[in-house]
Amino acid sequence: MFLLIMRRCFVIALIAASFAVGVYRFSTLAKFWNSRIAEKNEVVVWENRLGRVKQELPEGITHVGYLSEWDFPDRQLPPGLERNGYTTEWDLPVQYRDVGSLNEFRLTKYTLAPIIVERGSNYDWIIGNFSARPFKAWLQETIGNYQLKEIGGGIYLIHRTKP
Amino acid sequence: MILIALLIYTLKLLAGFFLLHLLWDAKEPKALTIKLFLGAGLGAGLSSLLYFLWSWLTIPDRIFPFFELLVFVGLAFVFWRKGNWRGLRQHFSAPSKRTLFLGLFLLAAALICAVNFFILFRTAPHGIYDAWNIWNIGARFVYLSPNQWISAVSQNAWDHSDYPLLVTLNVADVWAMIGNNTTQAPAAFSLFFMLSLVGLLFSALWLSRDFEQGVLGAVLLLSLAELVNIGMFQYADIQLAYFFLATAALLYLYTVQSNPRFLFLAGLFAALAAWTKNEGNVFLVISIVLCFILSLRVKKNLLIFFVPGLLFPAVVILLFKSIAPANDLFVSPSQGLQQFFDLSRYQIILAQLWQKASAFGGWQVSFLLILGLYGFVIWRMPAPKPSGRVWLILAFFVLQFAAYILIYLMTPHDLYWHLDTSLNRLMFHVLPLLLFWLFTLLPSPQDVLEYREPHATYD
Repeated sequence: MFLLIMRRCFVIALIAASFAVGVYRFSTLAKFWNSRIAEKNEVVVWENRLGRVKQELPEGITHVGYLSEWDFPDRQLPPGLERNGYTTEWDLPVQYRDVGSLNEFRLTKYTLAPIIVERGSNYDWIIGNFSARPFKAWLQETIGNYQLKEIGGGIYLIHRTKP
Repeated sequence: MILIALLIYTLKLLAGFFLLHLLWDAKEPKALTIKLFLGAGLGAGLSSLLYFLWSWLTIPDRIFPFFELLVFVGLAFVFWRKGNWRGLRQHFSAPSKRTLFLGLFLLAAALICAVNFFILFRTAPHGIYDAWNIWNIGARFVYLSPNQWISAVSQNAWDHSDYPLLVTLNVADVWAMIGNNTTQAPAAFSLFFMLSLVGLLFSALWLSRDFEQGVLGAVLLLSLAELVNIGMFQYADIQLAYFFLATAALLYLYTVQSNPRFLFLAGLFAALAAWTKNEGNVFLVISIVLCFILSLRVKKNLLIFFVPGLLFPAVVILLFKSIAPANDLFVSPSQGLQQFFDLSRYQIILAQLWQKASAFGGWQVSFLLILGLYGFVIWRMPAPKPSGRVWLILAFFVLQFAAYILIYLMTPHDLYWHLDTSLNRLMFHVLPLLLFWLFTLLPSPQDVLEYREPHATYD
């Protein structure tokens, strides 16, 4: 009889506990509710930042290049890592890369879709993501003449021009 | 906007339900309920397969939503005319107060889960990482460059454009119908499948055990943090878990009722798993193997019903794979084989498994421990034995999970990184199978609460 009562209590307790967990989770989440929370989301921020790029690109562009500080030739790999044939951080196994910089590239692809964004400078139009370091001399050396439009937040729209 | 998206997905569910009812016209409430929740996967699955073929054949993408509407109206008409509704009322009786209470209780739990999902969605409207890196970016290509997107797949225009397209095409399809690539469409698709997964578990347990066991299984699943979190991610893991459960439920149903149509449907749903994520390919092979083993046990060739079910999705998957880039997991088979014999990798995997399993569910105490304890306390209760082959469901769980361990052993990626970024989700893929197996086996709350000890007097 005791076993039967214990089993019945366990059944009822399990059903009640499952429900209670959901309610508790709601109470925890509701405390952090903020109607403007979406505005702080990294994707929303990036989309707002790159929104102007889409407007500036001429119609019919299907591919754009992408250059960042990871492409600088004197860029040091993270300390402690052997070269092992890696030329730039783009080549590193994913767990060694700076996730922030990698995500900025991915978010650029996401924001500009269906325009295909590919690493490299061999395109008429290039997105530059240079946050701090001077890059103009290196860019001139890499792609020749160009026109530059600053989008903001370290983002540039680069148009290769004929010499 | 999210309500409009949910409505469109519900129409796909209804189309799936109509089709299922034409194949299997059982009219008991539990049969109608499981058909409703199976309809979600069938409708979404067939819709995305047809969308791919449509684009493959270079028929203008903009016409596809009208074609879908036509198909829906046609199915609804045939369902109404051929549905064989005579004698429907005799299958329904007034529910008891306890049934009504438990039904409302389940609905309340589902509502709380949906609200939790909505709160989390607001923090990440585009989903996280793989959502905008793989699934939703693909949908953008499909929606924003109609009929051009197939060449974008071959050009590896987004990361992992080799990943199957069930989620991507369903999101793009709704965008095309709404005329806007709102973030609410992929969120609605996630929520739709979260609730369909719970509903499927509920209805499968209702069939294999009883209504109250279904409620218990469903409420447990709704309580898991992973259900809401992974749903919020806007990945394809919820959908994959759904198709795993659907296949196992249909194959189990065959062992109960011996209706070969369940085998056909099991084959179809197993192939839809492969159309959802690459892990589904492994599941499809496991399904074929288990169907073959079942054939040996029952001394009948069951594959002649199972294989035709998977043919149509398999053809589409092969077409897709012919244009998609290679997957990054199997780049170095020799390295993988070497790693298989590295004992330290087994140690790392087991340690991570223990850690993740202990915290799985987001309960204050280990959810899996409580589940185990519950099973231990309840299983000796006298109760009717399940009438089907329950080992089949466990076999799905064990084999799929073993396949995941094998992949971790042989992965070319850093093992810690791979485990950290995926183990929880892989565990979630097979958890509904575990719940289905456990609660099919165990006595239900009804068995426990209504049990009367022999020779006891109750006044």
